[in-house]
Amino acid sequence: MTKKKLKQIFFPLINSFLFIFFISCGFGFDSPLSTFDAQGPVAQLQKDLFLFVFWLAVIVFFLVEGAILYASYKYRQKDEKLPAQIHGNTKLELMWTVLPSIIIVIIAVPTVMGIWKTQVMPDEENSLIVDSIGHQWWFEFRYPQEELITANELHIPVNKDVIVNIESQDVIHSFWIPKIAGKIDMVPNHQNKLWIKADNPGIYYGQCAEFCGIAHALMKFRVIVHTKEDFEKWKNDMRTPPVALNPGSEEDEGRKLFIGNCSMCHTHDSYKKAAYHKEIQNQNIRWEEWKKDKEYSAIVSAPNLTHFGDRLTIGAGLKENNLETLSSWIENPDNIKIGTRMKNHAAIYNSEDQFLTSNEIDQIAKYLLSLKPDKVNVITYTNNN
Amino acid sequence: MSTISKPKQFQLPRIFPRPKSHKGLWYWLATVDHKKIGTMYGLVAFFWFLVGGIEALLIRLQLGQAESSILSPEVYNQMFTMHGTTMVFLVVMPLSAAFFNWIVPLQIGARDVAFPRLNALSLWVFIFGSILMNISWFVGGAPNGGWFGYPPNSSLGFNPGHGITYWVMGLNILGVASIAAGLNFIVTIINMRAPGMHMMRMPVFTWMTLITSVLIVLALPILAVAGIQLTADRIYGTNFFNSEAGGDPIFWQHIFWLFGHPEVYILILPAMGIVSEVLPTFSRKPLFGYTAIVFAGLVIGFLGWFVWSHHMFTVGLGPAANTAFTVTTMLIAIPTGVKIFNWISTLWGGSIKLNTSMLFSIGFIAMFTIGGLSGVTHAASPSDTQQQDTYYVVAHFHYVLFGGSIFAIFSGIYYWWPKFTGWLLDEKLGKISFILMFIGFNLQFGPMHWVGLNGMPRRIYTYAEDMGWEGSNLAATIGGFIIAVSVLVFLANVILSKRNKQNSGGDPWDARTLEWSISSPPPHYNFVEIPKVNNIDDWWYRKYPELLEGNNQNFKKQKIEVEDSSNVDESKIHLPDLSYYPLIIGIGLTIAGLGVMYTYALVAIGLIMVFWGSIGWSTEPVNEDSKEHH
Repeated sequence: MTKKKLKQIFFPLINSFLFIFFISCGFGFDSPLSTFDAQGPVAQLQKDLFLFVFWLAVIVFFLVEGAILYASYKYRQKDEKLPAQIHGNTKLELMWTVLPSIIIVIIAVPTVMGIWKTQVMPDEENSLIVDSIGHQWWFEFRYPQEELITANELHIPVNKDVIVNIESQDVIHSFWIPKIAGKIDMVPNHQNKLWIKADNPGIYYGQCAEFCGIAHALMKFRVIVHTKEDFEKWKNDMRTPPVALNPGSEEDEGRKLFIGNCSMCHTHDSYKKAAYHKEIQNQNIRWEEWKKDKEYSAIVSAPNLTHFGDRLTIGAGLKENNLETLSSWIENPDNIKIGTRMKNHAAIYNSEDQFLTSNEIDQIAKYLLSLKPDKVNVITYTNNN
Repeated sequence: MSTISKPKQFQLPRIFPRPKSHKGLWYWLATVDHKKIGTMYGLVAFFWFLVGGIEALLIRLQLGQAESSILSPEVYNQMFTMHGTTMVFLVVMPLSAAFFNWIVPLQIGARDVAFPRLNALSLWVFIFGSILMNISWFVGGAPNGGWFGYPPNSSLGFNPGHGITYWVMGLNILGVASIAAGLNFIVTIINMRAPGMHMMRMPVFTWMTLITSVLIVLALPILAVAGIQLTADRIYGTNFFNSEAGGDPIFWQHIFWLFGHPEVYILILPAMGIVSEVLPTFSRKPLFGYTAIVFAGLVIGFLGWFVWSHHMFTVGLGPAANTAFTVTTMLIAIPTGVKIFNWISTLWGGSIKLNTSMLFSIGFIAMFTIGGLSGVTHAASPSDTQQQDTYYVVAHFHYVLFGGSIFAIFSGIYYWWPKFTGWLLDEKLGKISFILMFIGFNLQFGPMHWVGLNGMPRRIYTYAEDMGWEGSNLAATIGGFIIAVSVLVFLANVILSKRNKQNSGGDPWDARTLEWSISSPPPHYNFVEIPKVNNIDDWWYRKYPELLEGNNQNFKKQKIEVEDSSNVDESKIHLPDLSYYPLIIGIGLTIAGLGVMYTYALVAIGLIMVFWGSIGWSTEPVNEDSKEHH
């Protein structure tokens, strides 16, 4: 084979490698779900371990690929003579059995240490405990120590160990906050635990990472990491009733519509005393009802909407929470998210005499946005992304 | 010759006459010739390769930009489910089977496989099973639960309709084909080697076929158990995996991956075998460390059974289980490394002919290495919890299964094509298709590493613009279409090369193993005389006997021709007659499978056909009377 032909074959190969390298580097690791922007000890350990293995792999990569390219070029056919007929070399073969074994041991030690470091839970008494339950296609968060309940936005304090008890009500989901910790699956009939801890206050993205049906791509959540003081304020807020409404106002009309049409599934008053256990009970009843009649049950599991006006997003982390997006959601959840049980079960979409007018939709949206704790504590949300 | 006549045996009355002619449709339907069966395996699997490829292109179109709506979410889910299932069960496995069928009997110096009719049964069950699975597209939607079909998402409660049932019935039926083929090749390789071919003289491709067949026979029944349980859950109301009624979805994951991980080696070991044939041939020197490569294959096949839970590092099995499976998984890197280093050493110091087949094999080592290295990052399970179910995993296993298996399969196609047909494929078009595939492949799957580490989960039909994933995804989509062009160039190559046939002769590559010692395409009885084997690469040393005396230089190639089959008295060669019973059983099984979903009447019809086929098969003589008394 001539040199010219070789150029034709090898240069495209090398070029394509470089091209991919530049393309990939050009885009960086800037996603809100990037695993490279570790913001907590768990994610940090996982990232460090990855990079450790990665750099070892890079060395091996260049040795192996270099040897392949070198050998294919250097030993290309030049004449019809047979090359030396070598059948093997025990010493060499022993070497490349032993060397990789040593590399494997070098990798295995920090790996195994990492497993035990990240998967053994911190002391429960000094940790915040959160129960997270996966639903098709949203996340429920319960705080058993505080008896608080919310959905799709997980509030935690900075620099504190948090143990998340993880379960699912329906199918398998996966609980993943890339910047804070690797994922763990949410499995029905199994309880998993995940240790998380955040280094800096801010807003972080969470994402379901196990295929869970039609809206899997749209099942997200936010993690709001507060300073210690802000977290105390948030807990207080969650126990404070919402702002009183002027009778006859649009919001008040919305309230009546909400009570009539939505409140069977969406609890929105969990600021009350003893509301916590009642809500858990209600969620179970809703689930049992849905199981009995998956097509037509009147009630289904649904996110708790207490102090919804304070939420940053709607639709499980999909869109910014404002009048426009919220009205669009209420008008037809399909506008924002496919497959919701709300769309399939709520009478306002399924029996003609109960369809809402656009005015009514607007009123409900305004009411929901008015759901904020009365004595508003100012909490500053810092967005890290 | 024998004068003793056998006692008259019971024989099922025939509805159709036993086909005799070696031409026409009837012949192809009733053939028991391993070469014809291999050809049909190859053609059908290549058809599904095109179908699975189109599914992949549609997925790439949908993901090419943020928030696109080319596919609906439901159709998208069906698309990735069927892409995965098709590529694993309908493409890589049967393409490997095509090579097993064509090459193994030739490499070991046999006239056919041990059970020719069972071989035909495997083929027909595979063909009809693959059709059954794809009927689902037209009757209410294809399966949409992923190729792993995790319950409860695949349970009836969350997934009504027939899609998943078609999937699981299809797998059950395909399993029959695979297990039968696996048994057939184990028996063939153990029992039908030519005299003198010890186990440690077998070509590496035959060795890898043997190991793969053992894995198939042990692993596929596990999938069958899981499949029957899921079928029962969906049709008869049992609750093995039904979590709503207290069933255990993790149980499914354990059995699925207990099958699923050996399955990965079922997909890659044949590829390793192909590469181990191509590299020495075109380096013109023996495979470096034959024994080590064979044993590394055995060790991979063995260790493959102890790593299944690395697919489940995020399930919550606890630190002890995760530690155990981390360590076993890392161990696999060692035999894999041995193979890669031995292949490179085979190149080293050789006289390398860089033709298309060789380029694909070298491409295989280069790409498979990348897949192996990213595999080690997965084995580090704390790091894997960040990568599990992201595009990083998609990148990893495509480097193993596309850059690995498919590259090797193309290498094998270009290598053995002259043996299949007697004419050569065009080298220029071949090289163009290799370069396109190499670039397209890396452009498609390279950036997936990055986008996965950047947090993009798998199996999402859409993503928002502000996630920072658009560039990599666009590159991947462009890469996908470059691969498609490369496949079209390959097809053009086949058509054009067929038009201006360039005769290959029996041994165009100056190759090493027995299949090259006979004419191309081989006569239906393969060998005029069963060869006597004295060495590994026996055919090579028959051509270069001086090499055995340690003479490496200044010697001449022995003038030795491939076997001439033009003047052979075929009446002295015993081969089984044609049989249409395997076809009938294959059709019957598929009808019964359909009936399980719809009506028991169909089950009855299907089972009657299976019964009819089995009785007919077991009572028909291997050869009709005229030949009985040789």
